[in-house]
Amino acid sequence: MNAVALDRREFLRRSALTAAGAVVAARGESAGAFSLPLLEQGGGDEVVWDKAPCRFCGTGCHVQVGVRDGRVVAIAGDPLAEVNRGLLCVKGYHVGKILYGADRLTTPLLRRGEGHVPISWDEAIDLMAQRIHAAPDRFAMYGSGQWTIGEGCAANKFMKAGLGSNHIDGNPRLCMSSAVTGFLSCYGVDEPAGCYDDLDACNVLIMWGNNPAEMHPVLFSRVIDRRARGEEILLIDIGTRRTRTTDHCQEYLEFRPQTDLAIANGIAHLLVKNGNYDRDFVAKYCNFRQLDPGQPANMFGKPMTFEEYGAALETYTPEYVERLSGVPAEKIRMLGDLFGDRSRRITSLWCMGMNQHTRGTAINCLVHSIHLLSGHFGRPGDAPTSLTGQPSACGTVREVGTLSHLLPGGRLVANEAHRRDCEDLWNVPPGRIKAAPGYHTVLMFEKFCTPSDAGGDIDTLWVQVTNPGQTLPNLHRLFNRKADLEGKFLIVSEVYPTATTRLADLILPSAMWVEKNGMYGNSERRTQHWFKMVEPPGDARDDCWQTIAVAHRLHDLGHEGMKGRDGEFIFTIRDESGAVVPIWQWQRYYDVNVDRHLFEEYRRFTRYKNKDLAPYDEYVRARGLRWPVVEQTDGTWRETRFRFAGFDDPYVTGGAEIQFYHSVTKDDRAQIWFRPYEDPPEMPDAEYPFWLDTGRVLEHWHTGTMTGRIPELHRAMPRAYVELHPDDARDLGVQRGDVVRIESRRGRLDLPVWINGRGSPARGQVFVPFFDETRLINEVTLDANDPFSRQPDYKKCAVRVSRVPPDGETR
Amino acid sequence: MSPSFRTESPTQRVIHILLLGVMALALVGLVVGLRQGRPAREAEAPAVVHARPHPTAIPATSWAEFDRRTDGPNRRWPPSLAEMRQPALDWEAEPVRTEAGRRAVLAARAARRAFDGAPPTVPHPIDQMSASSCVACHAEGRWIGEGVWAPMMSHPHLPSCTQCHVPKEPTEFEPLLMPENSFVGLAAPLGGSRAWEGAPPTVPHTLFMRNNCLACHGPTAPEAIRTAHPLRVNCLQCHAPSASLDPWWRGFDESDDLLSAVRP
Repeated sequence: MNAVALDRREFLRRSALTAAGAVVAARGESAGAFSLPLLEQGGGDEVVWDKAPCRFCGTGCHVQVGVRDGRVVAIAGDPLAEVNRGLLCVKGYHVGKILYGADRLTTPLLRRGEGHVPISWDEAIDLMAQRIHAAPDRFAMYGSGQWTIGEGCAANKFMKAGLGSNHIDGNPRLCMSSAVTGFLSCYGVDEPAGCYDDLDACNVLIMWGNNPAEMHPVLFSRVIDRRARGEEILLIDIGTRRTRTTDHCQEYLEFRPQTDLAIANGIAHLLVKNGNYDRDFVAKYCNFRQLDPGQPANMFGKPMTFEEYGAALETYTPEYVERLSGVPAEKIRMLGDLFGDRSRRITSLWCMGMNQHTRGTAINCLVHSIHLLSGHFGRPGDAPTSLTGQPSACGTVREVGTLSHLLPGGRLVANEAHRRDCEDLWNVPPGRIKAAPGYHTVLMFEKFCTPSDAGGDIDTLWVQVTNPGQTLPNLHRLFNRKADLEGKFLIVSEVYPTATTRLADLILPSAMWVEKNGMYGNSERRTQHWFKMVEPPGDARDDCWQTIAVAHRLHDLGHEGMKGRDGEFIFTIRDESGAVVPIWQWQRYYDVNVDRHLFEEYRRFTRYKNKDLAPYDEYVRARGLRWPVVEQTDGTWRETRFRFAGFDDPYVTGGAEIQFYHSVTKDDRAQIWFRPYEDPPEMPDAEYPFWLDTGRVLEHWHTGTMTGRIPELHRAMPRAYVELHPDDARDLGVQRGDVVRIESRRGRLDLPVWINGRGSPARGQVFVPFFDETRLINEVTLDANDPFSRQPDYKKCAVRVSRVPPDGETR
Repeated sequence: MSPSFRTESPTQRVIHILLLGVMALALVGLVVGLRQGRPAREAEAPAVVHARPHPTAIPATSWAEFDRRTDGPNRRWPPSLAEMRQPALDWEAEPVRTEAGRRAVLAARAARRAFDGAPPTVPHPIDQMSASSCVACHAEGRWIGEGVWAPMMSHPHLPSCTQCHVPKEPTEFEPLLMPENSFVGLAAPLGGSRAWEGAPPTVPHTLFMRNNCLACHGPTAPEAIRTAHPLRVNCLQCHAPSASLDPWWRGFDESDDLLSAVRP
């Protein structure tokens, strides 16, 4: 490379940078903003590439990140990654742009009247520590499935083992917690037994209220690419709305909202009645279970006999299920015959449709149960598998235990032995961890949005890596009310201004993704690692450092909880010479790999429920490893693909084919549940005659904080809309592009109509995506939640729809 | 649809419809004329040119009815794909390849990509629900109009088109301001290197997901990047790819452990 070429390249780079930075273009005039600079031949040699998991969804694709001159310049799908084999989706291909939105937060900001003024980090940390120190019991922390594992470990330890408070919850409460209660109820331990390899082996794929073509596109293409290669796979979409997924399916079974429980019971009914359930599998590995009417709050219920189980299912004939669900009886029989055929390999996938459900635990249990009853379990391709929405909902929240009732490694706050265990592992005095679970998400925000003298006993709330001002249900009640309350202090660690920072009293600018070290855990138990590749902008800093800095300031203020048994600061890290590294000073934070230390401490928690993690360095080398990762006699570490299956899981003993070694009933058996269909808490009526369903779109990831800053994605999907059935549109007298008002008992929103666009709902239903921060559909949604998982139902509430005249009020 | 209707030939049907239309128009004209009476003063009639529908034309769908149509844009609307005239390809013509032409081609290519290696955005509206309309034109590549070439997919085994390619222009909603973003993408190289004058150029891009060189360099390609010898199909016999450009090779340089991890 000669000097002239380099100069020219540098010149081109700079001029392009100037041009791109200056452009804010309207639609149709924006080619310049997208154009690449041209480069002389041989370009790209000076780009340094490193691996990272994608920042977005729970699929956990690996990307290769190309860095030049301290900036990310390119992304490639990682062909070395088993998850995605070199392929990405449109979000993943553009993930490098999330770092460079023009409005990145770069300095701490404190509220002054209506606006915010910059303050120093030292002032910010001091302000927080003083406030927490004054009333630690009235402080809560709200985190995220986008927290790295290290960030979650630090926050969990800071709260539960430091402040002695369990008021820490994560947003997977809104997203995954019914999957958790489903796994616990059936197997006694969380997370799927199968993995993505099932997608390569199944010949029937059933998607329950699931649209993976948009939400988990890489996993979906993993299946339909097989078909393109000539393999035969039956794809069945059990849904309430036609989507891009439906377009690829041979069967589309459209059901009335909430009646997925009836469909699952209908399948179980047929298996029992036709006698084609798997007698051997059930006899060896299963018990039957139902809720205990005497203890309705007990998630684990009470046993029932097979005869009682059959009797409970008696009413769920295909014809009865058809009346409830609208799915033709012959299709219910088709499903029954499929499950009754052991020569098939059936994988079920689900995500928010089954989880964001006031009967979320029940429908999760039922889908597991029909797989168990029919023996479609434990062979490659036979698996009930829940997908996650966030990159580390599993890794950081479900495994690290950053929910208000959990401790690390599958332990419970309410269990004394578990608390003692954690106090030993964290090296804090016995009794430090409180026995009572803290507030779950909905309750936490309810308390924060209630006046302090009226029972609202959370006054200071620290939100990291999430956007509850957009994602909480019934926002007027659970979030917006904060604006009018005295004495409430909202701290938000963020990368861009959001619906949440609007009401923040203190905004902390955070480093994101490859601006910091990190680890994530995806949907298939795969723990992934990456290193920091570029510097965060301005004064933005790691969330993990923020937590440790506040903890240390509390330590300096004399808070006893910030000391361990040995009297040392709870986040003490020593270098190789044994000297303490002051990681609470930002300038010294990267003198050691804090992530490595936190991970090695956390790793010791993971053996108890056989979720064994390998040493940090194994993850540095791998494109993720699926737990349990068990050391072999030759010193290598082996991951596990099929849990509970004797041919693969090293924790199955005695040569058993299947062993549920964390069984609720302590007999190595899983639980087959009966749960009846029940009506949802709010249904359409004469006043509010439509069902409202909310969800995501391919181009945007959740609240669009990151993807909304990517021109390519924003331009493809610029704003929220409402999908109507064409007949409903005709009756309302509206056409594509007209504005309608969606109104519930809680709020209202005006949106343009899109008919037969991205999706197509059934008659009497409307669909609205939630990514658009300028049009918050969650001001309309319902905050009713599942009694076991405490997960709200974003998929069904009653609304009315009316045409807004063109000159009427529009938002 | 009644059986008798089905036996009707399309021409008869159109004639019937036209006749019905003429009769209805005459009747309406009569009624309107009678009701308006004779104008007091003769106004100058505007010059109206009545377009006569082509006998095989299918009536256009009104905007209001558009949403209720269930067929895709290409199923019944002439000209059908099969009727799109495709020029004969000249497999032996010597392309004229200029530096300026190459720059123009690469500039057009770059305008649809965030960085070299990014999937291109789609420069036209799409069917939001179905990928089959993408494949209709892009599976084989097709001239869809004067000088407009719908390029051939270079990875036909990947059928979920919208997973990676988003439309560049939204058509549904009002114009919006674009988010400002200072990302600068890795640029595409102008071309491969040659060991010396006359040596075959190296491949300047990754081959990952590019299973068909002729998709971009074949007889339908812009001249500036078109091969002069499309009939020599074993391209990599002479044109060497670069491991440094291929994501497959990245990560192997650190240790051999990775190799054993992916190739047991």
